[in-house]
Amino acid sequence: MTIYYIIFAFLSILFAGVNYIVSNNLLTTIIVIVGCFLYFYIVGMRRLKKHTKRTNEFLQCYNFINSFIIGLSIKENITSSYEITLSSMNEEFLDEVKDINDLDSFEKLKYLDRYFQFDIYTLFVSLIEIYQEEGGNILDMSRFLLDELRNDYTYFETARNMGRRKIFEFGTLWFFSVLVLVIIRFALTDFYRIISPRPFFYISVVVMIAFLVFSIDFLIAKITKIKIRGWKHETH
Amino acid sequence: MKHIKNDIEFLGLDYKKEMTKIALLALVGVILGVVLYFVIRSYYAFIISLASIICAFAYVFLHYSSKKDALINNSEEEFVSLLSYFEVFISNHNNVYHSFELLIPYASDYMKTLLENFLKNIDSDKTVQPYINFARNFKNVLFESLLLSIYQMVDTGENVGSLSQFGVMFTQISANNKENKIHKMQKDLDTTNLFPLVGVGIVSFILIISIFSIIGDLINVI
Repeated sequence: MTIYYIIFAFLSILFAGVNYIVSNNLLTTIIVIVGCFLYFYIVGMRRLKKHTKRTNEFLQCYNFINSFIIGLSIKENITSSYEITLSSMNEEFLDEVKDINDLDSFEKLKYLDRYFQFDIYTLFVSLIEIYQEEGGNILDMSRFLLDELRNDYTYFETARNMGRRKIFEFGTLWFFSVLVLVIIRFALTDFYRIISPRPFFYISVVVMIAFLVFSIDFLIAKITKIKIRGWKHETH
Repeated sequence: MKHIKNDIEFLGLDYKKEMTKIALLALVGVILGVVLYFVIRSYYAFIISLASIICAFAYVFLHYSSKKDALINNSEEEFVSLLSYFEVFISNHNNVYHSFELLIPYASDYMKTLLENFLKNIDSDKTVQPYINFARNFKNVLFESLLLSIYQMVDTGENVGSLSQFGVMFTQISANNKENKIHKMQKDLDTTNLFPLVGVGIVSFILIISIFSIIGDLINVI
């Protein structure tokens, strides 16, 4: 999350800098920098925090289910599989589970249904319950579950890569749009000297930067709209 | 109006409440028209007000139809997801009826209602008809074939042959669904390309107005 704070701070300073270079007006530059900070840190960060939380949970869920099933197929014992799985999880997850050491392994899996807010995890727990009661080959039993999990992961990765490509395209297009205004400042100095004191000009530059910030928010909204199937907050 | 009433009831909304909201919107439009008349002192205010009311009505009425289409499209996507869970339940020795019952906790409210009605119909009619009726809730014609293959599982027993037939159909639908989702997301992201183009338009607008204002000043001096 720190990286997002840094990026937003950089963008706010960049837009304020562009505004000052183009309009040479300190008041509108202050308005731009304050407006950008407020918008990015209140609206933008809220979207990104929700998205990051959901995607991290999904990746951990994917990792957990895969590791657990592989561990169970080798050890044929839920407790040992759980211990093996824990070793592949991150610190945030380990913090979450440190208070449930008193529970037995299957109860720990059921407890984690609150942490992994995905239908596929609930399905995984019911599958482990069947395995516990009836036994069998866990790899055969979980074949379709793992296929679906893998499909979800592939979709998630594809969507994430599409989002990254789009950010690059979007940034490049806006860069050239803003470059035109910056070039006028230096290439047509006489023309610039006449228009820059006019209120219409520096207000229009602020409006353009406001539109740019709005378009960034629109892009963030689209990129963070990755539909992770069975996320309980969306379907129930 | 009957078509709109059907759409409103399909979405689970109260027809009378929605019509009241629309009537209030029209009243607000009329009041705005009157206020605008007193501000600009011209009968054009009423024309503007009438045009706004017509646009608002058109938007509201199209809105129900597009919400209904979106609900049906989302329900198709959701059903494909639920079928993947159905596959898990079936492969773990649950029968077809019980597998559909087990899907209910994972379904949205709309899909839950469809599934509950489907199971009620199966209770009273053991033929293929409930499966066909359930498939009619979706636009995709492949769903009917899929549900028929599920009925075959019931009819012939959940043997390897009928399971693999279901598996083949489901794989095809699932692959189509995945492609559609990616394609939809790509289209959605492509709409963001419009913004930099509008940005260039704003820059051109700024330059044109600046040039005109300079020319205007020169003409005044002359």
